[in-house]
Amino acid sequence: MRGRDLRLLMAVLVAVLVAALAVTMAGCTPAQQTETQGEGTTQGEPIKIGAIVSLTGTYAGLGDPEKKAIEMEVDRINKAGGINGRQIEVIFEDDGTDETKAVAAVSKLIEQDKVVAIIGATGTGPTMAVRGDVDRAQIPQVSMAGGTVITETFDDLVFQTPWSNKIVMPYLLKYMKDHDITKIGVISDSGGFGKDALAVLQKSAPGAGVEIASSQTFNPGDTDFTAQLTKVKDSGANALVIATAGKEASAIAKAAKDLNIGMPVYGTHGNARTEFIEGAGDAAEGFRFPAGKILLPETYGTDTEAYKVATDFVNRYTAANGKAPDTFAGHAYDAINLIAEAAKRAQGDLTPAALRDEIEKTAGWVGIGGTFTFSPEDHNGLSENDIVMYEVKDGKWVLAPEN
Amino acid sequence: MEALAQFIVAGLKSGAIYALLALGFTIVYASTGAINFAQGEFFMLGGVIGVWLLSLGMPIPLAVLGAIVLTAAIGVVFEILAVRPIEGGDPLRIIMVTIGGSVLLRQLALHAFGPDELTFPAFTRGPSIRLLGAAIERQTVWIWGLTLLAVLALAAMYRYTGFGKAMRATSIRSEAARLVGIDAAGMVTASFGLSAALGAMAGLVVAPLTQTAFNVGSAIGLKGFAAAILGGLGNPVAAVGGGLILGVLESLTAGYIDPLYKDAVALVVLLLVLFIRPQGLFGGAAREKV
Amino acid sequence: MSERLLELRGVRAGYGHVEVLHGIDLAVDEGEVFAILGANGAGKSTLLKAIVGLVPVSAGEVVLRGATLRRQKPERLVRDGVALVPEGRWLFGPMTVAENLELGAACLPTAGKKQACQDALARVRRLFPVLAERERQPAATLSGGEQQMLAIGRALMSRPRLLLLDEPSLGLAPKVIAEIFGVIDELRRDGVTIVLVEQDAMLALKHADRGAVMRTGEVVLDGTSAELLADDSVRTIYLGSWPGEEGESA
Ligand SMILES: Nc1ncnc2c1ncn2[C@@H]1O[C@H](COP(=O)(O)OP(=O)(O)OP(=O)(O)O)[C@@H](O)[C@H]1O
Ligand SMILES: [Mg+2]
Repeated sequence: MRGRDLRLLMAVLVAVLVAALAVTMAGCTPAQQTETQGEGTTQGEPIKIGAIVSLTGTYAGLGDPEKKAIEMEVDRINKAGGINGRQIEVIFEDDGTDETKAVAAVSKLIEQDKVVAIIGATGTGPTMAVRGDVDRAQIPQVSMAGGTVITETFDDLVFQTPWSNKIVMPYLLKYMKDHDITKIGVISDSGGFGKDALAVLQKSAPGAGVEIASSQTFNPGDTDFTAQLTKVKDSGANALVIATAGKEASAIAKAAKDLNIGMPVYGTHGNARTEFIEGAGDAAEGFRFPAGKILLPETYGTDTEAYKVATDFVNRYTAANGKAPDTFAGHAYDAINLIAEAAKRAQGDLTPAALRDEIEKTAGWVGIGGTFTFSPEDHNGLSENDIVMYEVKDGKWVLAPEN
Repeated sequence: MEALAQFIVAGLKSGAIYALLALGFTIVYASTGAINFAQGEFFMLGGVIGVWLLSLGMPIPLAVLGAIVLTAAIGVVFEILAVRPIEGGDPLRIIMVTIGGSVLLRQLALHAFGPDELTFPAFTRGPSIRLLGAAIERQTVWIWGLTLLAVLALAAMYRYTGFGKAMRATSIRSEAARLVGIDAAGMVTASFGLSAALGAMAGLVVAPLTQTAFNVGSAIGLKGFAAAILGGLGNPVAAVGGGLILGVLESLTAGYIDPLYKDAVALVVLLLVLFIRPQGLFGGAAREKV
Repeated sequence: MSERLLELRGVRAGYGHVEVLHGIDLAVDEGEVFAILGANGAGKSTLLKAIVGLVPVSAGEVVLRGATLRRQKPERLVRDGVALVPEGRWLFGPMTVAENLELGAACLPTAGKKQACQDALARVRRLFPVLAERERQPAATLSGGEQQMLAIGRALMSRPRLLLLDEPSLGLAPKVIAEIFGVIDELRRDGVTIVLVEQDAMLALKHADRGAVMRTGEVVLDGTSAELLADDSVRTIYLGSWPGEEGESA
């Protein structure tokens, strides 16, 4: 009797799991196919690159455009003949925004697929979690996550394409100071992005002449922010800074308006998404956030190389996906192209070590996030010149006044 | 004083949402003796289906109604396919199946509606209402109004309609219900449909404030579960009481202690209640008392 | 001779892998009271449950008015006029007496339901006047005797042609037992066929036309009440409580 019950239970569980897996796989299959349809001469093996992205979990909204951008770029490079006659093959793994899964994914990519480089991960947590395996295998890793810690805790194998908080937060503070804001209230999430942003803010604020009058946190998934906003309001701050890349940002902006906190609201490059503006609705009006120039390529100046690169990317991505790219797609574009460009320059055998050295030698390369110049000390490669302040107006982001 | 009023408004807002979810847990518990861990996914489905219906050009009231009906239908199909085949209705196995089902529903939603957060517009636009120095968003008024309506409708159904009485009878003793000609299996199916509808409603009324996405279900589902346990899983009134108390408790903790501790404090209170009053705050853990 | 209402042919049934009924043959005629006697654990309750389908029949057949039932379910059978008053009554305790009675009529066809419901209610009120006084009271607060009356009353609300009664006298005072058996007699006069399970053989056979004696899942003897009463083996072996101990059960 019991044995039968257990077997039935197992059968039901297995059936459900298989169904869930099947659905997940359905989304991944096209990505895992070898991308070697180009007509270029294929001399030798394809260059295998592993990509760890978050297609499920909290950061699914970020991993999805990243994967699309990488696929598009690989396709373009291969159709144009590949890298020195070799095709690129990118093997995608979904980390589900989960550190454990990211570690499992990286060891599969290293041991089974024998990739020469890793792109990823989407989030800061998984990016840091795979570092041990990357170090053991001695292959280069290019992360698409924004955490300062990624390149701050230096590892000569690890690079990072987004603007790190170390560039963004001082820029934000300076802008606020220039607009007579000297006391701010911060609401940050208790996850990786919020912690990182808060730490950098706390470190840079005194130097910038800005005081953090109130610092509040929330847990991802929270739906009510009355307590935090009330405290910020009572702290005498002149402005509110929302430091999260999560979807809660729009609810916070809305609640700030509804509670009538009576101060301007600032965000970060983590809010550079149309979903944020849609979600916050009227409350997004006047919201300011610093982010890369890619959001409005004309800020580069229409006769610049950067403008050409950016518009070309935006046009191709929009044509392929029916939707303009967000900044996360841009970080992925930069990651795959930084590796491809380095591979092109490498002489002789394309070993992971040679690839790493060439990536580090990148200088003045114009990508989507800005102009990258790596050095043995700087693996982020971007500067304040690559970001500007935006403001939401009539449901769209425009250049904020007095940049 | 003003701050206190504001915290209580916030707590009653979250609390009403928890109450709707707790009602769903209570209803399924009454008919099966099991906890439906897919309840949070019904919350999620209500919101994302609502956004989808809006995108097809439906006006808000129709999209809300349509999303509730469709989610209820999904609840019904889920029960027929996954729960009904369980021999003897063993609660432990029903729990397992609903855990698996929640993963499945989440994945299906991810592929059907995408990974991005989705926006549902406010039911009615306009500035917040001021009361005792507290600001109340219009949507919060909707949340309270619809929750009250749902609770009253549910209570009336249980008390006055043949269908409601048949559901109560089935939860008291399903074999006895069968002896008087009630389709007891059908009542279990109906209980899933009903709790899915309530979950969907919660997901819809809160979506204009927080946005929705394929992954919003599990966290809020746990809150609803905690509220149901706090109330005692006994009857609709207990579920609503548990939800409101949990919401206010969280809000006061966030306001006067630290927002980061609100989940912890809620958990501690929950454990204390379970320790001192295992049957929940509002008496009868007896599932007889729907 | 009157018509055959219910017939069991080689019925086997049990719980899980344990077979309790090992091939039961029985026939109940329209309009009679048929007693089923036997010691504790003989399988009497299981037999009634098997007839309505609460316990699955694994072999043999149950024939109702000439038609063989397949995979019968209680919710179907009550529509076909077969109602069971189970041992232990199974009332909806937290619900009121009125609600219990109303639920008893849940199976009536929608067409003409209101009238049929009123007629049935009138009959129950007439048979059990005490219930009429207790209608607003939760069933669980009734006395044992009143509960048994409510259980029978609830079954009567479905206007059954065949009533299966499982130990209606269990745990009740003689006066209440007499009242209940008076109702049984009256129902018989109304033309309701009754299968009556009883431990108290003397009492049962006094009110029954025919009966059967069960032992460990088998029918060991059947016949008219007079025949059974006359059977020595019946007296000594299976009907141990007799004679003259009717008051014991109080
Ligand atoms: N739900 C059950 N699961 C397993 N075995 C059962 C179950 N119900 C009854 N039995 C067993 O079936 C046998 C017959 O039980 P049943 O209740 O039919 O006897 P009975 O003749 O009605 O006895 P009583 O006079 O005590 O009511 C007993 O051995 C009993 O233990
Ligand atoms: Mg018995």
